[in-house]
Amino acid sequence: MMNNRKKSIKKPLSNLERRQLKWGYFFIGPGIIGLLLFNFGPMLFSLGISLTKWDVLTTPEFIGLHNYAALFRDPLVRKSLSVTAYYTLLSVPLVTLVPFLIAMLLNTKVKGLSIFRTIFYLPSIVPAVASAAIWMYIYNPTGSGLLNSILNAIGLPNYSFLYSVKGVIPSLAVMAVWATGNTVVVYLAGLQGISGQLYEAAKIDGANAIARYWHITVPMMTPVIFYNLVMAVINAMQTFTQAYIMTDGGPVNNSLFYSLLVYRKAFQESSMGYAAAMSWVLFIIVALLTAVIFRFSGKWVFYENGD
Amino acid sequence: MKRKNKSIYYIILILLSFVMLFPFFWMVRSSFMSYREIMSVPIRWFPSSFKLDNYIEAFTSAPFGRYFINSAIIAIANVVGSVFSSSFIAFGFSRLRFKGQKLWFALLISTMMLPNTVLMIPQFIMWQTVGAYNTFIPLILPSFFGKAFNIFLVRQFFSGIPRDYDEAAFLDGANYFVIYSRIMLPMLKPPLCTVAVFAFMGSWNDFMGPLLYLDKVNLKTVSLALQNFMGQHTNQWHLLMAVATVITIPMIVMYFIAQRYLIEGISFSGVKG
Amino acid sequence: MKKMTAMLLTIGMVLSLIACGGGSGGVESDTDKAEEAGNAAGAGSADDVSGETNITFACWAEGAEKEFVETLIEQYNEAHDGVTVEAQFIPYAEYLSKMNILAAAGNMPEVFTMIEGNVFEWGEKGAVLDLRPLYDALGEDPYDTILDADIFDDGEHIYALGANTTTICLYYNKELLEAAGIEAPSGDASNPWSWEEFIENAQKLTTDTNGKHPTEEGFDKDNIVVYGATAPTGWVNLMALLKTNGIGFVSEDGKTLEISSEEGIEVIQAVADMSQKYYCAPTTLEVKSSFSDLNVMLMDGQIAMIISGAWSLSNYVREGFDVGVAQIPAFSQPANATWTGGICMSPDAADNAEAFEFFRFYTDYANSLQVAKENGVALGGLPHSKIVYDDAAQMQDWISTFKGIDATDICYTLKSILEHDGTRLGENVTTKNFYAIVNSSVVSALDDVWLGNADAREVLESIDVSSQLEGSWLATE
Repeated sequence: MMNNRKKSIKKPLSNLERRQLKWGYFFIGPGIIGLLLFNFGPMLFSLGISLTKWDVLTTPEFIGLHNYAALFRDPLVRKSLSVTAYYTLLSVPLVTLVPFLIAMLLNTKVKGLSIFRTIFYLPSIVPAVASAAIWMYIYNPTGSGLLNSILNAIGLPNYSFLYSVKGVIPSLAVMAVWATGNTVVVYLAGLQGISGQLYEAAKIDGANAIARYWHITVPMMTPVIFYNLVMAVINAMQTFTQAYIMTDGGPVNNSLFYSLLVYRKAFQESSMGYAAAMSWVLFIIVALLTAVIFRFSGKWVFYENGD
Repeated sequence: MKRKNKSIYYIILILLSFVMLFPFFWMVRSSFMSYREIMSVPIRWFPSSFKLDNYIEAFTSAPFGRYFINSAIIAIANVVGSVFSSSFIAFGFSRLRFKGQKLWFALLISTMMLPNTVLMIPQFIMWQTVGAYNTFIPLILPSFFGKAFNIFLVRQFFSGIPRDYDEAAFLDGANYFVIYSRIMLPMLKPPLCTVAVFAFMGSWNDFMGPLLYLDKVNLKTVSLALQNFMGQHTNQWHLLMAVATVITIPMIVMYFIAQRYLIEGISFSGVKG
Repeated sequence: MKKMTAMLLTIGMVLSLIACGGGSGGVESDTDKAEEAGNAAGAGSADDVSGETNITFACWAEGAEKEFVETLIEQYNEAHDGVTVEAQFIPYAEYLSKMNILAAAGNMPEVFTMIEGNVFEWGEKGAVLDLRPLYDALGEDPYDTILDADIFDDGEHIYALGANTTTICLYYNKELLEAAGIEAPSGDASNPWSWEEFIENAQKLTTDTNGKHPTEEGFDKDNIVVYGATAPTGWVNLMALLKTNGIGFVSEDGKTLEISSEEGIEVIQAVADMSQKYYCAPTTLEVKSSFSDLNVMLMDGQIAMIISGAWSLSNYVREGFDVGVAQIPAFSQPANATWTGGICMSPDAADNAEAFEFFRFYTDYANSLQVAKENGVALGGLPHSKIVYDDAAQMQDWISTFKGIDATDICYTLKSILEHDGTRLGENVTTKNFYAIVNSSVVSALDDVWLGNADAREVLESIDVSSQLEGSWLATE
């Protein structure tokens, strides 16, 4: 703030700066147009709607910040936030780190690598509906479910998994790992980008496999790990499909994800204004989380070219 | 690589493969079973016979040929649009420095943070107003203007390309566009492959978009077709699985081809040093 | 930056205004809509110079029902030159959201089905057309032909007619009952089993791996091979069962929560006890989270009796299984619930004579029957027409639409249920805010009872839906 007052005289931009400005907007121009056309309008619309009471069928009724006040007091909203936060906490480390290990595995020179990679990607290709059916079989709470028959075989009792108040979220988190084919692909791409020479040079210097892993692979992969981390958080906070198809928010609302509640409010309970308010509250939370992650990224993300 | 290490890798890979293959196996197995067989308790691991009844019934219930063509058109258009737009825009966010860059990047990322539910109505109204309802436009056009997660991804990969290249090119008198197209693009094969895969899969499996914008029967896509078998009280699993199995084939082929670019050696011709 | 913000806000506000204008649900004339929609619109009707009228009909039918609708429409199109009806099938799970979006965008199909619980809501808000004036103009009265429960009449307006009536019934595996020496329940709706009889029989039908029943010594509840029944924990079934105890989820005037009354507690506890105390039904755990179909289990002889809706019939018919159908067991009085999905018209089609004609065609049972008979496709639901139930020949026609089994007993039982005094219109139709109340508050709370974490009294008495109770859609009462 003090700085601005001092710099009351605007310095003209240098040639380089001007060139970068021109070219900068040239390149990101399409992105800006896309944002304005496809996103900002609808986003602002929904922000406007969040200040109204709207059942979609009749005209919206302006009620100011009433929706926001109401949702802070709503026990269901609080429940769904805690459910979503819990899920995010469990699933993010899993879906960020496990695929990394898998990618390392799929980056080794073994025969039939292409086939293995395709096999590992299969779960992501299976349509959500089919996936849901399969996992409901795996997680079947009776002895005829896959996991439970394994548990029974080693002498453990049946576990309710998806129908357990405590176990539903962990079960869903584990399920999320299985469908991380896309994350694996990103990591594989990242691993390709590490110049082989670095490894050569390190070997010559006498570094063993583990040292090479820690001092070359991991640091070089941090930009990509960062990407997956951010995406994992953003996606986990907006989880919807699994809850919608498999548990319908149960049992006793223990898998009532925030997005599911938004959907219900919007369409099943004709409270689009409330749903919009909820959405914007989530937006702020996710934005804050993301900003924090970005802020601290400097400490651990290694951009080779000082980006 | 040492012998012992290799066999361990193989064993782990094969074990994990079983886990990963299981859903696919379950899907295919179910596609050959009658509804009653699929639902029987205890579970039947193998179909009693490999009749194609489900396939025949499912695929004659709707114009699937048309659906596949539609899905393919949309998917391929998305791949083209995404690959070019994300690399182009990401270049601007990483290779240059200018005022407002950080702000726009933040705004871009922020578009991923609002749940889709509340955006459906305004977006639909917008597209309808410009006459794009019952066309492929809402499903294709946005990809040409860049989607946040693709742009973000490619931007991260730019950091792995040394700035020496840029500088060398400037010395040769190139402008930014030349740098982007002649130097950067070829070196971005791995992330662009990834973007291509994401774009294809995302579009192929997307049913919300087609559900909203494609109401005419001859415009529908394969992903919507699955929904045809989901009813108010029960789903016709036997038919659904047959369709699901067939749907995944193009995706498997696409992925198999794409991931070969992610194998060492077939990546980029970098300048060593 | 400030300039940018101002611009964005303006764009946003302009869009909001456009959207508001589109979503007000006012009655626009057809020509306005045609101009606005232009070439790209698929759902609006466009009166071309050539005189070709397009009508869109939206519904959620799939499978056999979809075939039925397609055949019906094909016949209509053939018989009516210059009119083309196009069917739009939308999956049930997304039906409401899609309809809402179309409504907000001012792009409703001319004729469409609507989920029973939303018909009155949409009617009151002007999103569906009041059909009464249209019928008056024709000098027709739907009450002459259609079952009372299938007319969505709030006392003043008629917002929809139904075409797929449904109700709840007790399905049973005849062989299992015979083998256990149990006399099949009566097909007379006024003479159902009492709940005690039902439990007693269910226990007799439940056997473990050693052939023992729950009432016998040494019964192994962890190794049950055949279950006598299933616990009807779904709200649809509960709605009917509550009626047999004289109450509903909510009172008929929609103002008080009735399920938390003594009668309600009795019903809920009894249902929970089926698996927790009497061991004659699988636990909700076993049923809900698993991937299985109860009807298949009944056919395979693993469950003897199921309380479920009439829609399950198609499962049995498809497999050619001779299933027994009876009135649901009663707590204190024979009762049941009936309802139907509504067929409505868009307010924008108020002047669209062709649309109304199609509407009348679709809701005319005679046409449904003809399509079913001529094309060998099954009817979507139970007949909604009064004549069927009064005329033996008509009954026979209905019975003959069931291919693969002799449906005589089944049809007469269903007739008995639908005609019975105790069969009331489902509160999912009449109570305001029903889904919010039931799905958000009651169902999730009841999970604790089914899981055995708490007893019915505790849970029911702690439910507070006072903020959600808004009364009933029906004018009187």
